[in-house]
Amino acid sequence: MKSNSGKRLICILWCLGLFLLRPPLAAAFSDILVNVEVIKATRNSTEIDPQLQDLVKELAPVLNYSGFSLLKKIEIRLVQKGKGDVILSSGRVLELEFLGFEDKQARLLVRIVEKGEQTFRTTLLMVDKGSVLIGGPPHHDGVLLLRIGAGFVP
Amino acid sequence: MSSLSDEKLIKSCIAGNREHYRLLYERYKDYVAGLVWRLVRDGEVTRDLTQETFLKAFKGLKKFRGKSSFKTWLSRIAVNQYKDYLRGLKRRHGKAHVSLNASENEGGIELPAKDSTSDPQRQVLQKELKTVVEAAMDKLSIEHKTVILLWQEGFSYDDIAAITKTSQETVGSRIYYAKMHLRDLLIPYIKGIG
Amino acid sequence: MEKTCESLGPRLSAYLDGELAEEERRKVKKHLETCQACRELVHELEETGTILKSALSSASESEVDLTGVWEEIEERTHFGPSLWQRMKKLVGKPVVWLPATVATAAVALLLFILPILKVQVPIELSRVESVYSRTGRVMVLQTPESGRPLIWILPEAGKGGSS
Repeated sequence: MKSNSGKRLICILWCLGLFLLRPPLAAAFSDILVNVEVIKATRNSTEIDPQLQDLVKELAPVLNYSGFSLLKKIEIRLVQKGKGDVILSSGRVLELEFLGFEDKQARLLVRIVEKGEQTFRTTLLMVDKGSVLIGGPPHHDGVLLLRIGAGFVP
Repeated sequence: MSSLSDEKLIKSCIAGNREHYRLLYERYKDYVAGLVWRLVRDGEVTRDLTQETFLKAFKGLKKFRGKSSFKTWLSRIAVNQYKDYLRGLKRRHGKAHVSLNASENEGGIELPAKDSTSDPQRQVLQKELKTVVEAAMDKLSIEHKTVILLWQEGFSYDDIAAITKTSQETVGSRIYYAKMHLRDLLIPYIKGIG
Repeated sequence: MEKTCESLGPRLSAYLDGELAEEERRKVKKHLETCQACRELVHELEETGTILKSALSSASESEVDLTGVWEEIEERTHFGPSLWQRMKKLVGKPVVWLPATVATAAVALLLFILPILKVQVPIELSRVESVYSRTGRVMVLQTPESGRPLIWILPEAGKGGSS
């Protein structure tokens, strides 16, 4: 039937297009390089760290903060099943664990532990050079905002 | 808690409703944990086996035909997880039947220390009886222990047969012999209560 | 107990549990009227059963902490219709045809123009597979421009503070 052939043709064209645009497989990668930026967002200031201009612009429609300061920037290389820690503030630690690759993504377990107790946990599927934002934990006169990025290392 | 029936929740889950998976889990998690706990009586192991039971159940939801209740089906998965766990222990430690709280005594069960001048009847509090019964249960074979726990849960012989993959006759026979064995072990306390 | 009665044990137990068929139940009941030994056995089974039910019924006393179990289950399970089922559903809808025609043209453009321009088009974004917060209140959003995931941990209800 004409409509069925049309459907099949469109499906085939889509698949062909996606196949040609596929990114390289992560099977060639072994480790990941995790970048963590620890940022304080506050309403008590209008100062914005120059390194965060792009982020602030992106978040303006979503968040209601006027001041952004970069507290810490750290890079951690993780092997599969490897773990790393970032101290966020007194008594608060960010724990990272690279669980492994799945297709073209790296599975990253992120935890926030405060005084020995897990207060937050997420599992992320990171693409190469991708990043995720996590925010909200109170910090002094504002909140913490974390930018967590991952790059695949061959 | 939702008033939706198990069947409706399951249909919804198969269609991809994540929240209804959660509802089913919340509805039955205490039951599964309770059943597994009484089989293994180890907190960590119970937590793991409960998790594995629900994982397996959710992955196999499409295969649930509704011939038995969801609770029965879930119990079967839990019992199988328990048996797999025991098989794993056997492989690692070479024991045919591992009872985590088994008494050192041959044949008997460890009874709380008795004062020769005390009255057994006054001594038997509900908590003590529970401990004694649990110790006696550990003396049973896996098959007998499993059927007695499921019987105590209120499952019919038919359901228990489906859960343990045996026949109604086998279930009836095992329940009888399990009760008689337990009675022998509990005689001093039964006489004290009666 | 008489030798003939020994074999009745399992049936007496089933009789007590109400698991016998009507015919069988009548036969056992009749036997019990005349057999003292079997009546004693039934009494013993009943007594033992009562003790067991009483002692084993306190399921709530288990020492099991199930915190985080659901999150683990969520992480390890992929729910929902398969990709093929979702594609089939999409393609089957007549209302999709107009955008589909446009989409076909877009694919054709990508196939022939993009390789010439050598533009890297990212087709995937990082995503959040599971999330847990002790406060029980978390939002998962996407930034409007890049579609990057933004997880926002909200304070416990009643404790104030909002974005």
